[in-house]
Amino acid sequence: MDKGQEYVERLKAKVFSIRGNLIKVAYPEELFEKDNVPNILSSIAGNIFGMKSVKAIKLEDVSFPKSILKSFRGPKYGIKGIRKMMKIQTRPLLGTIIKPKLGLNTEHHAQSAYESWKGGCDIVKDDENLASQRFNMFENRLAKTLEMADKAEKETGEKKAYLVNVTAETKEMIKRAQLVENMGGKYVMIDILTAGWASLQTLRESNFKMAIHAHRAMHAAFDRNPNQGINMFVIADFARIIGVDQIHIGTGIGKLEGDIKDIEELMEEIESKNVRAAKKRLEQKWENIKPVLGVSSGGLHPRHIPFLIHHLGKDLVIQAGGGIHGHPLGTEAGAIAMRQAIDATLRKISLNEYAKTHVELEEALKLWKK
Amino acid sequence: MTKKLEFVDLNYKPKNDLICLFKILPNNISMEKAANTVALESSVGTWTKGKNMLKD
Repeated sequence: MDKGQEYVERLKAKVFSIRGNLIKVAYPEELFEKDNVPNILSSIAGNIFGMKSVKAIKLEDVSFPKSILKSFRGPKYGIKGIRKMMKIQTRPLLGTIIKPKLGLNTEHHAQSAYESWKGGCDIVKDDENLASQRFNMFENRLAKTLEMADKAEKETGEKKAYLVNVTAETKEMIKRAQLVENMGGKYVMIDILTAGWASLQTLRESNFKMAIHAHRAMHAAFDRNPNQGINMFVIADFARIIGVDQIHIGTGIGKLEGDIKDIEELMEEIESKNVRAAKKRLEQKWENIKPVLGVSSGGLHPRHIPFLIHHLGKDLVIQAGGGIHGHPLGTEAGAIAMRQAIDATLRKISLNEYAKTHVELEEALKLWKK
Repeated sequence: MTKKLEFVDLNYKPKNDLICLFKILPNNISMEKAANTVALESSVGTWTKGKNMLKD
């Protein structure tokens, strides 16, 4: 055998299972530079998507060997670390997104954040498409909003976090993250897909003190088509191995597409230590890589809370934007209503019953009927 | 004559491998052939055999 053929024999991938339209392929670990996500993806999620030999192809899941797991940091905090930092031991975390998506000036942005925290939100995050536009520049927004977080912490006695969106060209992003660390912020947020895997690796490997919140804007371009693209499992797996602390997983209810059963499976994929195989999911022992906290966000309001906790449990961030800022009595009342809905659900009291003695919840339920 | 699919080995038991699960819809060829092209293109393969004939 010539030398070239010998290399092929040693490093080639092998299809070891074919069932219906599902195939499993094993890749020798030597095929990859172990701590290089773009390199791994250029093989397993590269040219194959355009091959003429298939009408369509979807990468449904990936399972990493120990040697690759060990070459990544994984989440700095993970679920336990976030709970410790936020001093919230059992209930889901409540978050909001400043609305309208874009256009508020810095003062109004900070004010809206303050009202959200005051009412009971634990975290307030920027929208995915807010960076450093002229109407709301990064550094000033960061300073003013963190000031409001401190004020809300003093007034409520609860921990309050601002998830500022640092997404930008990589060097600029690292500068912004450094500013967050200097100003004592607890979190940064990054749009992992539009920013790119290499820049997420750079952010994580810079080892800042902050937790990383991963937004997945653009995921539907990969995962919405059932026959072509990349399943959210794969996106979540790479985010977990690199080391985000929390990631958006969908809601199973409300304005965005996504079946609750799929989201339950995705939740297990990111939050379990050992993931069992399912129809379109591979077994994975996560070894040294910590569990990532799931975030449900998009079109949520208080009426959805019992459904979310029933299906996804308490290790969850529940985020509502319009469902808080659209409350008839304003943002603070909107946050209060969401906390009331969480309290009622954890105490196993129906929302309608709880609303009889909680006016903010009552008003929310009157406005949002389903 | 049936040509052997070099990248399909249904008896293979993965050890320290990275595993991928794909859903594929073959384009007028068998599942086995389509699967073979996936494993080939995503690892070391190329559409033609190397002619470099490297020796030790």
